[in-house]
Amino acid sequence: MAYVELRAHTAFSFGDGSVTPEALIGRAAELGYGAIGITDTADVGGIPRAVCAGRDRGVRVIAGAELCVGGRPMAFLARNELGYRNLATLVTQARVGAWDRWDKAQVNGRRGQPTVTWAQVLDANAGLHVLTGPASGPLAAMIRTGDDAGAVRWLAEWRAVFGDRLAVEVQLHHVGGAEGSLAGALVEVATRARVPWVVVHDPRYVDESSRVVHDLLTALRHGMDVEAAERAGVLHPNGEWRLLSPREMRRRWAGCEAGLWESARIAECCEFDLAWMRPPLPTFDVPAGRDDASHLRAVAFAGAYERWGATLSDAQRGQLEHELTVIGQLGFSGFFLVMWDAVRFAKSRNILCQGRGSAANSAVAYCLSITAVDPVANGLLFERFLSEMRVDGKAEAPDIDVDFEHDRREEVLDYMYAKYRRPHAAIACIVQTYRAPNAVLDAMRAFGYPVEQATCISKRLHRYDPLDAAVHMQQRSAAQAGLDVETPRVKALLRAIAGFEGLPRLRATHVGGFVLSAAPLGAWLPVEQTTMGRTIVQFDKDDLDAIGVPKFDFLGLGGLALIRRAFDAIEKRTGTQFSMYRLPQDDAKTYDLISRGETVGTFQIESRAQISSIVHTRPERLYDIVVQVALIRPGPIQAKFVRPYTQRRRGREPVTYVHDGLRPILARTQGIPIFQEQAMAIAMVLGGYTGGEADELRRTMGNIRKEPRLIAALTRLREAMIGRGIAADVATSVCDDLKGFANYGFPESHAWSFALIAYATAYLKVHYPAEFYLGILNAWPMGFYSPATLIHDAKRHGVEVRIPCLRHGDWECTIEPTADVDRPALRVGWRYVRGMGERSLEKLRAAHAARRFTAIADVVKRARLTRAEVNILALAGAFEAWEPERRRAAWEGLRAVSDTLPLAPAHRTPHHPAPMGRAELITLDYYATGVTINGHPMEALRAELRDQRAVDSRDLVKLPSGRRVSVAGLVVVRQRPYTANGTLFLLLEDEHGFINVIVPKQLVEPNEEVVKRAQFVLVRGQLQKEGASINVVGQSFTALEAGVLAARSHDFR
Amino acid sequence: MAASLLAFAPRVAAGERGVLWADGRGLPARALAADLLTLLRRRGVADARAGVATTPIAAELAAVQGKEGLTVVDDGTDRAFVALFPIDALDPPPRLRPLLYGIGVTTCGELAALDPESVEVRLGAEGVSLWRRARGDDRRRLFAPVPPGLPHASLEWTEYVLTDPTRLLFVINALLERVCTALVSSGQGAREIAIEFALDDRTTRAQPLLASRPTANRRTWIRLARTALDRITLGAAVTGVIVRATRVTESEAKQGDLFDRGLGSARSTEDAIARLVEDQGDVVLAPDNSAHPLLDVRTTWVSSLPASAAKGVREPRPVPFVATPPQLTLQLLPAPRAITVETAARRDHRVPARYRDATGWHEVTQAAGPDRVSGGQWDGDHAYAREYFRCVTGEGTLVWIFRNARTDEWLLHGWWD
Repeated sequence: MAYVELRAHTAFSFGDGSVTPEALIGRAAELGYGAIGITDTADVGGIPRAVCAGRDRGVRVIAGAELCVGGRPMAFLARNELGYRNLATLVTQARVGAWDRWDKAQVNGRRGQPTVTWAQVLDANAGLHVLTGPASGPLAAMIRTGDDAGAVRWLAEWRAVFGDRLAVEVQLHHVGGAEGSLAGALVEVATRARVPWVVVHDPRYVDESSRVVHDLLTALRHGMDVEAAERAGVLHPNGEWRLLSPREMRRRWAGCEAGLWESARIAECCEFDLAWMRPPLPTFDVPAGRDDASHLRAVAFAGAYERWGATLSDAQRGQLEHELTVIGQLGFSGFFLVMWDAVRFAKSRNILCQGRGSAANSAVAYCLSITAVDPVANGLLFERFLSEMRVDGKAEAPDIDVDFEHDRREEVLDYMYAKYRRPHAAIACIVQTYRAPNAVLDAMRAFGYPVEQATCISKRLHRYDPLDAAVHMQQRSAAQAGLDVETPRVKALLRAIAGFEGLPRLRATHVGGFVLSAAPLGAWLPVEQTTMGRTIVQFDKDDLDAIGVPKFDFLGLGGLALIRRAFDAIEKRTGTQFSMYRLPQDDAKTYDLISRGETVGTFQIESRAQISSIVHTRPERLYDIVVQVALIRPGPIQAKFVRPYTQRRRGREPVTYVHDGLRPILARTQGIPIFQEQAMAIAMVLGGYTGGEADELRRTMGNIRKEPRLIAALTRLREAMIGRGIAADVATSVCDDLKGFANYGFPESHAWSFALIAYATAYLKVHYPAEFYLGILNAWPMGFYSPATLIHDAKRHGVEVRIPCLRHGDWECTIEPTADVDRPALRVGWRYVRGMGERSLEKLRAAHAARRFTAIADVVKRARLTRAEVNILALAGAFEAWEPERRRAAWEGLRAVSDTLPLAPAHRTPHHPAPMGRAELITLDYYATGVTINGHPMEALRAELRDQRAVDSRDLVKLPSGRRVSVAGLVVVRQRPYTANGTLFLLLEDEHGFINVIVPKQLVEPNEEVVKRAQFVLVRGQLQKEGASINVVGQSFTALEAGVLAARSHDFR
Repeated sequence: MAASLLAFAPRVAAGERGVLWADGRGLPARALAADLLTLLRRRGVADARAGVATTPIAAELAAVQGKEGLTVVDDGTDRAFVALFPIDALDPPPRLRPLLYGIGVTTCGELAALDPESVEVRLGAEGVSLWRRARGDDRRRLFAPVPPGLPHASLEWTEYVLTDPTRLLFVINALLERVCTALVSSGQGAREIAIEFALDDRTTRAQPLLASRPTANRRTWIRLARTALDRITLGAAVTGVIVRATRVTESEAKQGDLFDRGLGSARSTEDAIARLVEDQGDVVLAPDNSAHPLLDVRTTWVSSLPASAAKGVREPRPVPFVATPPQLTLQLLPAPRAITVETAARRDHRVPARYRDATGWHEVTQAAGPDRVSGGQWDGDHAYAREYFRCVTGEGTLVWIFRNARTDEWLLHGWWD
């Protein structure tokens, strides 16, 4: 009988395992294991990945976890579904304690101490197999202290509960005589107590390189460098904690095979199925006499009458009936009602929200007001959203993503927690894997290198994976940071960094994926808590998909927050109430603004690439924006669809179809497939696929990493088309097009949802620019651009911008009247004054809320400001209402800070500092607030630049294409999309506008310090013009000295 | 460099940022500064500059910020001179910089022009201190009091000459007594003492004595002197001796690394302790044990003075008598010794069956192990992987043998007795 390792750890033991579940399974398969147990520390997050990997490699996974009982570790293995349920319950209890005593405020105290009590184990023992733990376990601890009698008694107590589901765990890592003695004593005690003993090896890694990574993680976990950890004895004394083959284990335990046989016997008793992890869907509280399905039908039709009027067309009614039937058959009625309820709550609180993604293909979602796009009117494909295809015997969960104003999403989450009760609700996690920067930082920290040196290297590697980073360091960056790559230590460092490849680093909260259950969730998906007081499941989005758990995506969207704020400001100023869905969709001014590429700050169409494209495509209707949103994406770009689409849209080349059947599908996108729905429709029309089959094809196309599967799927489609009489070359051409944009194709429904928001923001920018910029600045951080760039853009669009003021302004940006009633001014809020502590800002807000400030001294005294805070407020011009000269304001404010003796006030001595120059004022604005209204920092350089024959953004418009030019500006955006093959794009801003600069791939590395890091850049290159699109293809690059601004560019995000 | 400068100026001090101060009070300062500049240039400091002023801040600014060569600030004009400089020249504390910028003070003159109450109210005590310097009111003490000379003692005789080392040692002992007493009284220990012999042929011969660590212990120095005298031959009879402490440090200098290798053997331990007692007098050494996987690098020794060491010692509590079995003590060899080993297979490893060292072959009747240790993979030369066995030989000795898994060599590391 073969040995089965029952106690493997993976990187999901976070800090005590250095192998991914996939790599562990791969190695186990190589070593000849048919099954393997995984017992991560109070964690089952690695199980779904291991199970999926095990299916491919023929390795059965036994689900387990190591849990501390009364502070000492033991292992628990699930024997059956009930056992898994209890295992999950215990892991949840170890992580969050008892729900009835759970307190959001007490979260921090429990972190890092996952432990359960004997009573909890007693309650949840059914279906579990228990191993007594390693040398630090409770049984071994008693034996090590010589309490053999106590050990026998302890075993008897556990045997009374677990019966034959208990085994004494024995390990041998050749660490010394004491270990061997302990093993012998454990076997003896087990024999005396008539409990079976089992050999386990408790591996944490699979080879020597992953051992080094384990050593580093252990050192970091103890807050030491690796040498100190070695001296302190916290590292494993040898490399024996690797996964050994069954053959090696048999040799090691030759003569004592009973423990090996027991491992195999236990493995035989343990089963696991991913389906056991699927919690029951939440039940919705429906009115008496109705079930979920009938209630959904009622509310959907009520919504339909609101949306479409009292009389529904056949198409509308037919679509609703079809969808309700499918939803009912798949058992997702409750799911829709939950989403409907969340949206209803948000609307009741005046929180702007809108469904996105494939949910917009659903007429039911539209009628429930979850989404905003009419799928019937726009011919959207329901099967893209929900099909009857089954995954692993279970219907695939619908994917409804709803965006809420990003700063009010928390209110919706709290509502969900409250409504469904905390034990029944948790958020999906994000498993953050090691990328180059944190692999370099962690490895160098563990090796004892100075943080500055590590940071210097890591910031050069932010786009790399650890493996590539090790190569880059070997070739370049290590030497740049003063490391000699020939020394053994640096060689070891590089190996260690490469060893971090693919390892999970930490678990964080997903941006919005909620998991809800009709029963306490922790019994299906173990739950843990975050430092922010949220509870998360130990699985990320992909894990949940693999398991088949539907999640409710409540996402935060800055664009909605922008619109809400702008609408509120408009209503306050004009009394007009706006709604996003009642804006005129044919506003010529709005399309004109978009066509001119004046879209800085608008939603989705503001990036450098979008602007470059949009001036060519020149949208004239909403559907053009829908296409535009989807067009500038990796898929269409890689498939080289952008230019043909643009040419056809402008009528410069004819629209052609390789097959007549494509005409109705592709007509609206000029004969070019851009959306996922189109790929599905092609499969259905030309290949004769059902909706479910077409969706299966779409899902295969969505995973480019499984390219062989994609090729096989497209080959099948090609054959299906040929089988339906379509010419082979046509079928090949169609499949080639589909392969071209696989993985990155955008759902049309999603593009529709985003286009509505994009249009609304553009509309606001044209008609209510002050409120538009107010919205974006108050919702910031969001979008592409820094506040400074937005302020410059606002001024270019005729908005009068005023600096923060403690008398007239407020915490956030505000609208102020001007002489022209229709052109209000924008007052920048105090939140943009830098250097104020959180507490001081709170005091400032509280004091202002109590009573308006009347003087500088009044501000200082009531908000109890420090000298530094007074100074920064004065330099930001926030005292301008009382003292226009900022330095004199600082003089007065600083006096007020210390002048606290009313009986002996300080003399008010006059002070007349030299007035500030314009350039100084600009630099000061950036320093104090990050934004300026006093000009642009490039103005100070302009005279010198003119001497160097450099032109500005205005001049570029007049110069002919092909001319050699010099341009300069503040770098506001750096982008290096992987679709651009290494080319770097810079967006420079000068005092008149923006300049697009293209840095060819071969010039990026030689000019790295300038093009990747300099704040102001002088570029010499060739002007390239195509229609309204203007670029400078750089040939040489020089960093300009214009002082250091406290503004950051949007780099590589 | 400082020693050369002292030939010109009575007192010299090294300041921050490469500034050297020379005390020119009561001297023709301009000429002194010119001489110092000449000296520095001769020594290859081409860009040296000097400033002469009544106040330190003016002199410093004149030197650091002034023109090339020498800048002299006339008497009574220090304040006006300082006033011209930007405020950063005074190196204000980081906290004050933004405040000074905030109120528009950019030069020393602007700060000096403010009234002290305004400065105190707005900038606090640090601001007032800066304000004083901006006004040329610098209260720094640049020159510490002159330190006393190093202890020395001498004796000359003209009536006779000495050629007998014993009598010479007697004289040296007496002189060392005086030097050591002086060292003790000043709380110092000497790292080096020089003995200068005046010889009958009118020449001198200097003999440095170097202690392994600073000490004021006469017995240590006389031992070193005796050893030195045994080794040297003087060219002529001796007519005088000077004993001079040439390098001294504070007596609480750190314990060296005498015990780096741990208590390698009983003999080396005894030797080390004997030398320690002789050298250090009453010093307490304590082992600093770690849990390093390699036994031979687990312990380092740290020294402390008796008074501080005693603080950590608690009165021993009475312990009930428990009969413990006699335990063997592991005796480590100073360095593992290569041996030849023949092995036999056992389960998943091989165990020593017999080994040969310098004395011949030894049968292994019993072998426990392997006990594997490996680590240090991150540090090339220090990486280790060993497989230890505790072996009972045919002679009844319990020895500690290991196989270096990196080189596949066998070594004897110690034995128990």
